[in-house]
Amino acid sequence: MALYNIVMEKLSLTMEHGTIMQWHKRPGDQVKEGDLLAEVTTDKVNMAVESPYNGVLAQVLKEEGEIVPVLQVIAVIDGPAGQTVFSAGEAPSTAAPPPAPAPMPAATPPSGGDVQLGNQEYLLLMEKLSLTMEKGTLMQWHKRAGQMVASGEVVAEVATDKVNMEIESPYTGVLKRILVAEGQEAPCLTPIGVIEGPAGQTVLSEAAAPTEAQPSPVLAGPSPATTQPQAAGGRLSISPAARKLASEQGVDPETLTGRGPDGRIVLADVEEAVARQPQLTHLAAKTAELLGVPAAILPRGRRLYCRDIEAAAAAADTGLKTAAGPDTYTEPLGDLKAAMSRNMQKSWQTAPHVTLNRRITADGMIQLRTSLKEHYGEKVSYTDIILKAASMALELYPIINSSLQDNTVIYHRYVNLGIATDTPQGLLVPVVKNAQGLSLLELSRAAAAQIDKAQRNRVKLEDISGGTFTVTSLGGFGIDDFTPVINPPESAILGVGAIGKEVVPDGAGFRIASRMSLSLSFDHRHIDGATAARFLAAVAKFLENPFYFAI
Amino acid sequence: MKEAIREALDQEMARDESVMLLGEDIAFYGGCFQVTQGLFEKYGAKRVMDTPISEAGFVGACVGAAITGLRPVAELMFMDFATVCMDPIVNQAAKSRYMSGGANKVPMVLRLPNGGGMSGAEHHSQSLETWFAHMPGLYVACPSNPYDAKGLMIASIRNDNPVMFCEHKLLYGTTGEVPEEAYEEPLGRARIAREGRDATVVATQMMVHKALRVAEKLAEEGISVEVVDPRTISPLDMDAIVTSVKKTHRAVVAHEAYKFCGFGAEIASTIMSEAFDYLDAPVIRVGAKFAPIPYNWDLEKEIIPQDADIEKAVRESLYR
Amino acid sequence: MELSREELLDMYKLMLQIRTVDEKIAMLVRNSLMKGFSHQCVGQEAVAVGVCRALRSDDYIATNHRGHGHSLAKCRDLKGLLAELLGRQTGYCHGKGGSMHLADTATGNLGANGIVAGGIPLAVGAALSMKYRGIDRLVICFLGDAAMNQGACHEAINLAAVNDLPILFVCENNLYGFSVPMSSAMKVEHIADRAPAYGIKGLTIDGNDVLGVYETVERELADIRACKGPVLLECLTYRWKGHSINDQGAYKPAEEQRWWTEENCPIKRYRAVLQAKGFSEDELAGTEQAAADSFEEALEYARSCPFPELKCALEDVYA
Repeated sequence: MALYNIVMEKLSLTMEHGTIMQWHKRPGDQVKEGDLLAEVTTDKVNMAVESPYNGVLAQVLKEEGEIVPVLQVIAVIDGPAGQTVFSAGEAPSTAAPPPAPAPMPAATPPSGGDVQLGNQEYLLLMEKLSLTMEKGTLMQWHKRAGQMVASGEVVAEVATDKVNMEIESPYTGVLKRILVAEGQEAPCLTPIGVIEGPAGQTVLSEAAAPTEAQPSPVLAGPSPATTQPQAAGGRLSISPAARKLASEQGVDPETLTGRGPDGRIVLADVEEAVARQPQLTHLAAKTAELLGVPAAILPRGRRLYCRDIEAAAAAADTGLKTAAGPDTYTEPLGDLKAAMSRNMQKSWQTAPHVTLNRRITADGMIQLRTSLKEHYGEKVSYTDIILKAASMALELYPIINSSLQDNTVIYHRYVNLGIATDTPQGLLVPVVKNAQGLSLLELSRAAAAQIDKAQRNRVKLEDISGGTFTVTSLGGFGIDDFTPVINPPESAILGVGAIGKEVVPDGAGFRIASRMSLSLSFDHRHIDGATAARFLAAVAKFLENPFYFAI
Repeated sequence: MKEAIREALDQEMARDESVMLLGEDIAFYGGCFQVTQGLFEKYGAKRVMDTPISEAGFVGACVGAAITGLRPVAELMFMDFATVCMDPIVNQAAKSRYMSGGANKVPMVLRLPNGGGMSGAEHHSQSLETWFAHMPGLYVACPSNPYDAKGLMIASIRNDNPVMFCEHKLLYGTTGEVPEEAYEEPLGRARIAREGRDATVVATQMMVHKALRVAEKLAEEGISVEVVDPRTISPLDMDAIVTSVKKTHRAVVAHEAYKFCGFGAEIASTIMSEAFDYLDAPVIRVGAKFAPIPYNWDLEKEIIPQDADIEKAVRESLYR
Repeated sequence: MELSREELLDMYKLMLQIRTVDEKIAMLVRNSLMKGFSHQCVGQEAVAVGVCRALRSDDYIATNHRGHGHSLAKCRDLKGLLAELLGRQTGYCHGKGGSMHLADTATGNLGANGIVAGGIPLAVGAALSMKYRGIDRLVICFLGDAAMNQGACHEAINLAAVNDLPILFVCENNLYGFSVPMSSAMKVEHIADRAPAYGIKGLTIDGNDVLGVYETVERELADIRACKGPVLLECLTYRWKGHSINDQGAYKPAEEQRWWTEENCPIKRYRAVLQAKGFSEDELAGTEQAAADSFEEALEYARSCPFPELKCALEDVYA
């Protein structure tokens, strides 16, 4: 038997301490590997602490509500000796190639219990980084198990016999499990980790998945043939400085022809290779393709990652940059905001956004809300009413509730409504799952709960992922109408403006009515204007005639 | 340069009574190469002493005098004559402090005109400084210009260790800016004679000037050569050398001593072990070919390394 | 042994040749025919000629940096000497030795030496070799007064003495070691005064009397050949020029210089002796001319000789 420490994990770069929200096991309880031990909250998210070990929870050292500095011990498990944190070899049962989007849930509306939450496990693979690479050694994990990872972020550093390379995560989510420990080797294209994230991520590097032995596009062609190439099968002749530079720049020396005596590869050979073309990671290459960034504008001389492509795209767009100086100050976006920023850009550049505006009369909504409050004591918000209307309209026009992936429309048999919420941490979009089966009151309560979680920074990953349609309101700020950005992988988003009294024609005369604008942005790739307009008309109809909710 | 050395001797003798000179023909004659000219007239026979042709005798005497309170500066007419007094240098001067457990110190300077290129033939052209560098207890100074010559001489006289002060005969007549006041240049600190980016040439004495000429020439082709002058080969400033090589990635070591087993091998080997990952090419050494220095002037040029040898080495390290 | 008329004249010619060579050195250097250091023996011709006349052709000599005279007197090859001074392939040492390292062991010249007293132990070693092998060849070791203060010299002489080696040490006392007068370099008045310290015989003679030198040497050689012990023969003489071609000799008092060059010139004295012996003016002038001609001829020869090939620089480092 041996004792194992459970520590407060450092879940993000800036995390300095975490708060124990709740213990799910008590001292003396049996624990199995993977069991939920506790929930912990940080400055950004709530995290589940799962047990990496089998055994008995011997000691709980920090109480609920206690603030614990990172890497301090919070509990001790007493279990069989020889267990390691990394359950190497215990790859998830999905040994299949990277997953397709979430499978369709049962057609019957769920009734609580195990619900398809819309999250998915993705495999992080040992990338095949060159033609001849067969295995790699995991040099360093840049994320720990349980940490959030954004797509494009560097998650690990890997060494082959020639070069060191960084692996970017193709997915956004949580690094749920590390399968290959630092110092261990893994054959190419085998799993090294598991990322759990929102379903349906159309991963850019999927195309570079196991089926293709696609080399990293970092290799240069041979230098001008002034010398003979290396003797085949012989030891590589390369100067120490050249070897070092090649390693730093991610150049595979085996593809170079050396100008030194006996074909020795020298600094100049590597420098020319580095300078000759831009060197992109898998992900960066795909991002460049996606964003339409031409190779010509990419910087040369170093390995380029996703963030470099985005920066190049941004710089190319505006052609202007702001110079830093004594009159400016800077604040980096931070990982999550940067991921969101990327998402916004990707969404905007991927889906052709068309926004339809429609003014509706809100008197029906106002009356409904007032009645519910006065007669039933129920507090229902305008947003709740709009959510209900949207949910109903989505059932009628399922294409608005879909996701487009590679020329295939994926229809969801459920409606997961995202509610854009302005929280102290910034914009969060908590999701109400399976809204299609909920009454107005149920929907209202569910929404309130989710919004409350968001406001108090108690959201978990599943609360902010898996949406199929989003509602966003700027009415509270006095905005009439606007052009919301679709939240990928959704296909549409409904923006709500302010309610205001207006003079409207009434027969030959006029009357005062409360009016409001609805702004529907939709992805014009697979949704046509007429369909979107009909959907919006349905929403409008439901809102102007709330008795439809009773049907 | 000979005036710079003379000035150093003069200023130190003026400052410190215990400094005195010995050697052959240094008094009335002013020294075979006229370095001590005028000092006899100024300081007299007690402090500027002509000796018989007895190197073993008077160099040995220097050791004893140094141990017992004097700071003698002896001149050997040619470094080649050091062979006649190797025992006082190697077994006495170098080891006295150590053997006495630190009780003795030997603050003496031995001036040694070295180097070839003037048809002095076998017995008047040698560069034997490697032998002295290879002996713990001795310091070896090799200035390449008048400024360093004066500064290093003053430092050597003030230093409490035996210093073998090498003066290349062809450099005696070279000129340069030299401050009038006394100043020291530290032993064991190299000087960057010329900054560069593409290759480092480590050179001593005459080879510094040859390297600088080569650097000038190669600059026209866009090749930027950094020339490092160690100034003393013991103590040896490997830090400066390694820093330079880490910057340029290529190293050539040039000296007039024989390439085989010359002190350049020490420098090259240390560069290899401390800057291995930074090297783009093997370190190349330039030194005299392995034969005695012949009388015939063309044959002499064959043996003593020339500008072209340095240039060839630099190009080889750049694969150009 | 009585010398024949031819031999007497020959000695005169030889002295003249030696003087001509060493007087012409400056001209050769000015014309870049010769380079480097050179140490002239003008004024000391009588010692070289007188000593070598008494030797057999297979006897050895070893000399020092001031060795043109000794070399020429022993080997009689003016052309070879000049070719060597001019750095030619055909010189004694194929151009590799130069003025200070003239050697021609085949004709008994163990060589000049750039290190003061460097050749003395070598000479003693040669004498040891002869005695060891029972060969009747003796060794003449030329050295200067200043060399007597080198440790190697004492050791070598002592070694020769203790082993009764067949060697004659001929010390040319020209009163100076470079710029340092002999009186400042040693306490004894005569070099020969040191001989008893080694247990050997010491003699001091007039070094500018060529016949006197010859007779003294000839007399001593018999015992030396018989290994009765080495002899230290001090020959008093004077070098007219500076220590080397770069030295003007300003440290020599003018009167001293004048007396030796004008009143004690070995060539002038010998000429007078020859005249007294009945040689005609024609004979003497003819010899003088012949000496001058031989120099010109040798110089022309030397100038026509090729330089050694560059690859020779690395040859003969090892056997």
